[in-house]
Amino acid sequence: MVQKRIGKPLLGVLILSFLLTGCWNRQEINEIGFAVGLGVDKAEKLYQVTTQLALPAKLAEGGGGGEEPPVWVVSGQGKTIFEAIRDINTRSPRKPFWGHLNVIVIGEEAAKDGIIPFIDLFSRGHEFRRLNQIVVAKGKAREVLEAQPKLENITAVFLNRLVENRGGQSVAPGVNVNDLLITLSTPGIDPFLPKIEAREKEVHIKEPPQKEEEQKAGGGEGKKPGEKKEEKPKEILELRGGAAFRGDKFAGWLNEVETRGLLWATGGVGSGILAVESPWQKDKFVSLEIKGAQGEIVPQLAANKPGALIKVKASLNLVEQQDSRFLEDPRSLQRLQELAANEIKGEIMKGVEKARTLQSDIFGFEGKFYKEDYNSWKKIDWKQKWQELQVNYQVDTVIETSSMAIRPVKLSSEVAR
Amino acid sequence: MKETKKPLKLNRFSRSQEPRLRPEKEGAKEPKEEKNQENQEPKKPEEKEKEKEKEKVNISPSLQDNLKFLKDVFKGCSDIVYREFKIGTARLPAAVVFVDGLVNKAAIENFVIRSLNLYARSVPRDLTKPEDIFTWAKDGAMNNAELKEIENMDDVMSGFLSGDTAVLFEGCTKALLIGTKGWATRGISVPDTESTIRGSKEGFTETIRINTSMVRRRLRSNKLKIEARKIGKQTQTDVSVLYIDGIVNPEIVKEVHKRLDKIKEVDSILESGCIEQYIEDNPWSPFPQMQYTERPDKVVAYLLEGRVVIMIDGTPQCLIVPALFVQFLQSPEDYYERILVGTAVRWIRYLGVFTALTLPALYIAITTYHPEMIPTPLAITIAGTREGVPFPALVEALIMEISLELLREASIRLPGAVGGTLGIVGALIVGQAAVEARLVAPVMVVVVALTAIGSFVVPSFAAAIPFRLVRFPLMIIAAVLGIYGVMLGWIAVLIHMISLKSFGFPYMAPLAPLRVSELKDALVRGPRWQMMTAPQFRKPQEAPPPTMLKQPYLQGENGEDQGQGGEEK
Amino acid sequence: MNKIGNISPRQAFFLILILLNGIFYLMLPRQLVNEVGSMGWLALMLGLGAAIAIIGFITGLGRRYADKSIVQYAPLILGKALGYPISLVLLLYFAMLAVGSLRIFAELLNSALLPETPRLVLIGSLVLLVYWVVQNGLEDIARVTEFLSPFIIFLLFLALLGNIQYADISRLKPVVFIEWWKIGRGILSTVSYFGLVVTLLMLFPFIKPYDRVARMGFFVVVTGGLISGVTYLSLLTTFGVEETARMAWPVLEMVRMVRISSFLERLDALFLAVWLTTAFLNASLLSFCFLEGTSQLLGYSYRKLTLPVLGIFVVITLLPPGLIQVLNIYRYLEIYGFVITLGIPLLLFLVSSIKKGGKHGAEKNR
Repeated sequence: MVQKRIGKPLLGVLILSFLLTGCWNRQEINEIGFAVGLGVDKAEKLYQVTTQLALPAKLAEGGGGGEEPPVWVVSGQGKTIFEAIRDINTRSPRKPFWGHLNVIVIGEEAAKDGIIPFIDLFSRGHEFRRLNQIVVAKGKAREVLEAQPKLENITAVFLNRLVENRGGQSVAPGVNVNDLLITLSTPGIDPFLPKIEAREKEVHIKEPPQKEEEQKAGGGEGKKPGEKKEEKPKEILELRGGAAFRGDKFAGWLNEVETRGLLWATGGVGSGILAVESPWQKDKFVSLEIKGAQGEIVPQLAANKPGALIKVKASLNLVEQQDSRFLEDPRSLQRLQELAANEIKGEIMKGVEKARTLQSDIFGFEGKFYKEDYNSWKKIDWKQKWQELQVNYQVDTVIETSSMAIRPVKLSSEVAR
Repeated sequence: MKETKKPLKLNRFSRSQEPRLRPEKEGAKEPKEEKNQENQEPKKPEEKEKEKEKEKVNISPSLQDNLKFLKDVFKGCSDIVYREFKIGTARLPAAVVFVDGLVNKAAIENFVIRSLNLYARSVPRDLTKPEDIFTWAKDGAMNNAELKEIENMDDVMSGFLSGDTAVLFEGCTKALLIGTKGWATRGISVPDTESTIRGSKEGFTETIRINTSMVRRRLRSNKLKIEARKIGKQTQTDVSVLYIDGIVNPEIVKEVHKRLDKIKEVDSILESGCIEQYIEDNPWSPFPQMQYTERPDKVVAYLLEGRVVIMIDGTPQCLIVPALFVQFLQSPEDYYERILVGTAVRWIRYLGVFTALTLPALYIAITTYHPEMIPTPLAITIAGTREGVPFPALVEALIMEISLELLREASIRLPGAVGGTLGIVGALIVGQAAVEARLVAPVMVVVVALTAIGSFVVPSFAAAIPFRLVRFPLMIIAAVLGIYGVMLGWIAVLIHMISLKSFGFPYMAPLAPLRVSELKDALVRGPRWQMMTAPQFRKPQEAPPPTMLKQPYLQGENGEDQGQGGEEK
Repeated sequence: MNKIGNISPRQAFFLILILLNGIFYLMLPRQLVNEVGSMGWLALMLGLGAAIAIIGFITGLGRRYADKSIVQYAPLILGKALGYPISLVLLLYFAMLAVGSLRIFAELLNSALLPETPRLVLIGSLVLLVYWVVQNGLEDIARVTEFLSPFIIFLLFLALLGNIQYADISRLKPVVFIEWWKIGRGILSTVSYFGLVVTLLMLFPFIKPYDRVARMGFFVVVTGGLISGVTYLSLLTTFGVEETARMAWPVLEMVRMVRISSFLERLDALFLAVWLTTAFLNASLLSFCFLEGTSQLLGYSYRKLTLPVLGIFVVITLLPPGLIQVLNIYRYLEIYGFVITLGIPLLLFLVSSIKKGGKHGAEKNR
C-alpha cells in the first residue's frame, strides 16, 4: 500500500513522460541561434526580416579579435513577418531564438507602409517581449544591423545600450513595444520612435545645434554611402532625432532639437546639455546641464477650439562658462534662468511646428483632451485641429550652481577691472 | 491559538496510537483493520508471557545436573568457563559460570571464588544447609557491587551471556548473578561523522552502559528514565529507552514501547538501523524519519525537548524520535554559536539543500528550455563553450553527477588520507579532462561542484542521501518538461514529505502544518531565552520548566516579557 | 471523517486565498477590463461586498450544522426532493471549476512556456500529482498549500512591485461612464470569482475550531480582493485598457515585464513555474470538494472514486480545441457560478432561518 502510494505517482510521472517523450520543446543551448537584433524592411510587396545571429563559438573565445564579426546577419522574405522569419530557416540550420532579442529596427520604407501589420507578432509570440526597444532606421534596417560599431561585439547590444543611454543628450525617445502598442491604441496620439542611422564616418554639425540645414546636409550625406555599401560595413551608428508617425504610418523625421522639444513637453528629458548664449558677452556660451525636467501638456479649450498649455519645469546646473561674468549676483542668475527658459521654449516651439507641418500628433494634444476632458473631446471637430490648435508655453527653470569652482576663468586684465 | 491546537494534536495522536509495525494505512480498509488489531492486541502479550513461563527451565537442586544442562545447551561454545569449587569448610559444591572475555576476571577471582572458597573457611561451622550458605553468600560473603538472585536457568544463561557471572550452588534452586561485566571496549573518541568546531568532542561508544553514563553525567536528574529491555531472539541486544519524565509526552513513550514490543521476535539487532527500519512509519521513503546521533550533547538536548531516545548496545549511534525534517538541517553548534551566526549558518544549509537537490535540474531546464532566463552574454558564453559537446544537457549532467557519486562512494571506502586525494584527483583532473575532451561544458563542472558542496553542508549524513537520490529523477523530468518539470518534481517531493509522519507527528511540522511559534527554531535560530524547546513533544498539559526563560543580563522589559510570554502560552 | 483530517482556520485561509489568487486570478482582470474598462474598481468593490455577504451566509449555515457539509444538511433544510438536486448542482460546479483550472493551466503553459508539448502530457502529469495528494486527504492538501502559499504570495508581490516602474497613472484615464448593464456584467464576473469561497460549504465541517471561520472568511475575501484590486490597477496603469483587453494573459504579461536589473530579467519561466503550483493546489482542492461531496451523496469512500473521476476530468479538459473556445465556455461558467454562489447559500440560509425560527431548535444544534 505504502509502496504503491509513493511509487505509483512518481513512476507514473516518469513513465508518462517517457512514453510520450519527444522532449517536445527541447533545444540544446548550442543548437539555437541567438537572434539579438531584428530588422524589418519592405522589399516591394514583401517584408524582409533581417536578423542578427550571434556566433557563440566566436564570442566565447573572447572574439571580435579576428577579421570576421562575431555576428551573422541573415535575411528572409515573406508576406508576413512570421513567414519571413521561417524563410530565414532555409539559410540557417539554427532556428533563431528571440528570447535574447535586444532591439527591433524598422526600415524607413516599412515604416512608411504602416507598422500595424507587423507589430502584432511582437506582442503575440511568447519569445518576444514587450520590453524590446524599437527604433526606426534611416534607410534600410539591414544596413543598421550590418554596421560594425566599435566597443561592443554585437551591433544589437550596441544599439540597445545606445537606446538605454539615449546619448546623454535627450535627443531621441526611448520606446519599447509596450509603449508603442499603447500609443497606437490610444486615440489622439501618434507614435514617435527614435531614429537610428548608420554612417560611414562621423558627421558633425559645424554650428551650435540650432540650424536645421546642417541636419539636412547630414541626412544627405547619409544617403551617398548607401550606394556603395557593399564595400565596407559602416562603423558609426547614431541615435539622434526621431521618426514621427501619422497613425501607424511614417510621416517624417524630427531632428535632435525638435525631438528634444517634444521630449521637454512630454517629460522625456532626463539629461543633456543646454548651451545658452551668454547675455553679457557675444558669441560666448554657458553650458547648463539638465538635472531633471518635468513636462506636462494641459489641454485648454478656448471658444470651442482646442488649445494646449505646455508646462515645463527644468532644473539645470551650471557646468561650464565661457564668459567671465560673476554669477554671484542673484539677478544675473535670474537672467540666465530666463534665457534658458527661452531656449527651452524655442526648442519646444520648433517641435510643435514640425508636428504641425507633418500633421502628426506626436505631442498627443488630442489625446490629452481625450483623457482629461472627455466630453469636450467628443464635441471638438478634430479634422481641423492643426489649423485651430493654439499652443501656449510656460517654462520655468531653476539653475543650481554646485560645482568645484564658483567663478569663471578670467584674464588678468579683466580681473583688474 | 494554543487551544485550537490541542484537540488537533490529541486527535492526530490518537491516530498514531494504532499499533504499527508497518506505517499507518489510510483508506477504506483502515477501520476494519484497526478493530481487528485492537481486539487482538490485549490478548497477545499475556498469552506470550504465559507460554514463556512454561518454557522456562527451573534450576535443579543438583549442581551437576545444572552444569550438564548448561554444557549441553552451550555445546561447542569454547569461551564459556565452568569453574567448580567447594565453599568453605562446609565443602558445599558450587560453580561459577561466565563467558571468557566478557568479564573482569580479577573481580571473579578476588571477590567471588576467593570469598566463597578461602574466606568461607572462617565462617561458623553450623552453616551446612545449602539454603543457609546461599543466604550467607548472598547477604555478605561476596564483595561485588551488583548481585542478583535468580530462579531459573534462562536468567542464568542470559546473565552470563551478557557478561555477568552466575554462581550455582549444590542443593539450591536459586542462583546468584554477580555483576562482573568487563570487556575490552573502544575508548570514548571524537564522533567523526558529526564533528563540530564548538562543543563537546565526546562521542558514544559501542557499550550501552558507557553511553547511558555519558547522558546521565550531563543530566543529573531523577526525571531521566532509562528503561532497559532486550531485543533480538539471537542477539539478545540490550536496548534502552531514555526520556525525561515530566517533559516527555507519555504518549510517545508508550508508542515507542509498543513498536519495540512488536519486534521482539526479530532475530538480530546489530545496529540502530535494524531497529529504525522496523519501527519507522514509512520505510519506503528515502527520507529518514528518525534521527541517529553519536553525540551525547545532542541526545541530552533532544531529551530536554521532550523526545525519546533509543539506545542500542553495540553501536555508538542512538535513535531520536520523533524526528522532524528541519532538525536534520540543524547542528548542535547552531545552539552554541551566537544567535545571528546560528541563523545565518542555518540559512546557508537550506541553500545547500536547495542547491543539492535542484541545481543540476535547473541547469538542464534552463539551458534546454528557457535560455532567455540567462543574461545574454552568459547565455552566449555557455552556448559557445558547449559547442562541440555531442550530448544533450541531460546526458552531460548525468555523466558528471554519476561520476561524482562514484567518487564520493569511492572516497568513503578509502582510508582517510587517500580518500581526500581521490576527491581532489576526481574533482580537478577528471573535471578538467572531461571539459577538454568536450564531454561536458565547463559550466556543467561548476554546477556539479556546487551540487556536491551543497550536499555536504547537511549535518546529517542520513538526510543528505535522499537529496542526492531525488536529484536524478528531478533531472530527468527537467529534461522532459523544463522548469515546469522541476516544479512538478518539487511538488511531488513536497507531497511525499508532507504525508510523512514520525511517530504520528507530521514530518514537516513547524513549516507545514505551520506553527508560527515554533518557527523561531526552524527558519531562524531564536535567542536561547526565547526558545522554549519544541513544545509539540511535551506533555500536553505540562507547562515548560522555567529554565532558559530569560537572558539574565539582558535588562529591560524585552527579554523578560518575551520569555514569560512564551512560557504562559 | 477522521481519515480525511481536520484543518485549522489558518490553513483554510491559505486554501481559499490560493484559490482566489490562483489560476482563476489570471482570468478576472481581463474579464473586468473587457466588460467594464476602467470602471472595473466599482464592479470589484460591489462584487467584494457580495462575497462578504456570501461568507456570512456560509458561516451562518455552518454554525447551525457544524459537523455537516452542504451535501448533508441541504436535504435537512430543503427536504430530499430539493436538497439533493441543489447539492448536485453545486458539486457539478466544483467539477467544472476543477476542469477549468486544469485547462487554463494547460493553456497558459502551452501559450507561454511549452508550446509544442501536448496538453495531455501537461494535464496528465499534473493530475497524477493531484491524485496523489487527494488520496492523502484534505489535511495534506492544506499542508502543501500552507507550505507553498508564502512563495506564491511573495512572487505576486514581487511581480506587482516590479511593475511599478512602468506604471503611468494617466493610462487610467479617461474614466468613462459605462452602461449599468455592463457594470452588472462586471459584478457578475467578480461575484462568480469571489464566489469560489463556496468551497467553504464543503470544507466547513473539517475546519476546527469553526467559530473562527467567519473572521477567516472575511479576511480571506478582503485579502483576495485587495490583491485582485491592486493587480487590476497595476495592469491598467502598465498596459492601458485597450492593450489589457487584447492580451490573453494580462497578469502573465505583467510578470514578463518585471526587470530587476539587466541580469535579472526575463524570469517569467520561473515565475510561471511557481505560479503553476497554484493550478495544482486549486485542482486538488476543487477535486477534493467534488469527490468528498459525491461520496457523501453516494455513500462510498471518496478514495475509490478519485481515479475514475480524475480520468473523466482529464478527458473533459481536453475537449475544447483552443483558448478562444475555453474563454467562451468560461463566460457561461461565470453566469452559472454567479447563480450558484449567490443563490445556494442565500436560499439555504433563508430557509433554515425561517425553519429554525419556527422550531426554536437553533440552540441545540449549536
